[in-house]
Amino acid sequence: MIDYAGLMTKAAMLRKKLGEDSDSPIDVFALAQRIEGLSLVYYPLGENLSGMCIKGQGENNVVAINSTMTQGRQRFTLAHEFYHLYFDENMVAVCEKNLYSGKDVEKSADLFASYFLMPEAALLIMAKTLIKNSQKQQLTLEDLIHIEQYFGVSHQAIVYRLRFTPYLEQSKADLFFNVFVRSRAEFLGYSSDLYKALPIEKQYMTYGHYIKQAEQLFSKGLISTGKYEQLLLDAFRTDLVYGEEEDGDVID
Amino acid sequence: MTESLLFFDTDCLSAFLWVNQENLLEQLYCGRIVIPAEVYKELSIPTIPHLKAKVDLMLKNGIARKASIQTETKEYHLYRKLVTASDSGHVIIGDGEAAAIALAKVYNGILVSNNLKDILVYVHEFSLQHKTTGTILKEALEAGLITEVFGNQLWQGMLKKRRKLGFLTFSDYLKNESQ
Repeated sequence: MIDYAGLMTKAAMLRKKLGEDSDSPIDVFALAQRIEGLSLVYYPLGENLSGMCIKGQGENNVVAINSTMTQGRQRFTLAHEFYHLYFDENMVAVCEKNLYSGKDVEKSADLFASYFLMPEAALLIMAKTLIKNSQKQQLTLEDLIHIEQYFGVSHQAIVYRLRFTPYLEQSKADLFFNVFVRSRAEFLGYSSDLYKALPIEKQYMTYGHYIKQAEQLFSKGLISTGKYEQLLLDAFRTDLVYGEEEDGDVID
Repeated sequence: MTESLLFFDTDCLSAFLWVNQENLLEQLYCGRIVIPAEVYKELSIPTIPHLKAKVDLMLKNGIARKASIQTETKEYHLYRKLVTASDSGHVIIGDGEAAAIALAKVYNGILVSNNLKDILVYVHEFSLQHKTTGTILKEALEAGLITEVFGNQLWQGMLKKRRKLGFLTFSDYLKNESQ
């Protein structure tokens, strides 16, 4: 059975633990890179999986994100994996792409992700304000786009979440659920990055603990330059081995 | 007399691939270039598909061949020793450079690698013949395939891709060699 209130509390607790306030949008990618002992891998995991979480000995954990999904969905998946990382007793979680389906632990992780990225109070205040401003009874598609852009989540994630509120009735939610919003968002003046996957050559990446560990092995003189580069290449970090196409930092 | 095979490490081969000069390798060593499977793997990263495509073309056209190390062979045992640094005092070296060293040793070939700091100990220990990117460019210069000016341009291009060449310019390398 799903403990909605408990999940909401867990989401609030984790925000606090990770140094975030209780209602602002979160840059969850940047946040993950600050978590001690976590390696974050972006990899095309196919059509059926959204992500994975593998907990190792001590602080040695890996979260993998299906990088073929839209960036909004990837953010949601990462927050979903946080649930497995911090609150799931299982050591390995392989997560399906379909939202709010499968075992209770998967549904819980989806709800947790939703509460973590869109805290209840902040979401409801925003929904209420939008309705008040538009003088309509229900949220419009434009309102939903505004909310998903604000919190940086996928369109499906926002529709799922708001259909449990008085601001979006079931029939409208069903209608909005399968609407392609990318071009509408562009016409409203938003960037469409949220609705796009990265180009294929950027769908492979590793951040965090693994990269730090490899650097430590090298700087302690335990591995050769060739081994260090091999470890980085295994992690798809060709940017660190060969540099970017346009190398150099910009100071501004 | 059959000329020795050249066993390339990732660092050296990639240096030529990045500056689109695999044709120099072809003109100098066509048919003698061996790419260990471990090096091929390091060049098959999905974020650099253009490098893999060039290697595949070299293999397809017979300019180079790929070599896999079979288990329980002499080269396998040496390879395992190198990648696990079972001899005290040695750092763990990469799979690609270890494979190139092991194959060069067993088949009495030439090791082609730039990572001198880490591999020189093995070059001496196994009495290996050895070439670097600098050696190859010097041979290309002597064969009239490139000018020193062009060599310097290639050198800069390789440095830009973070290849470790030991000198700031090709001219500096040549000067050092002539001393």
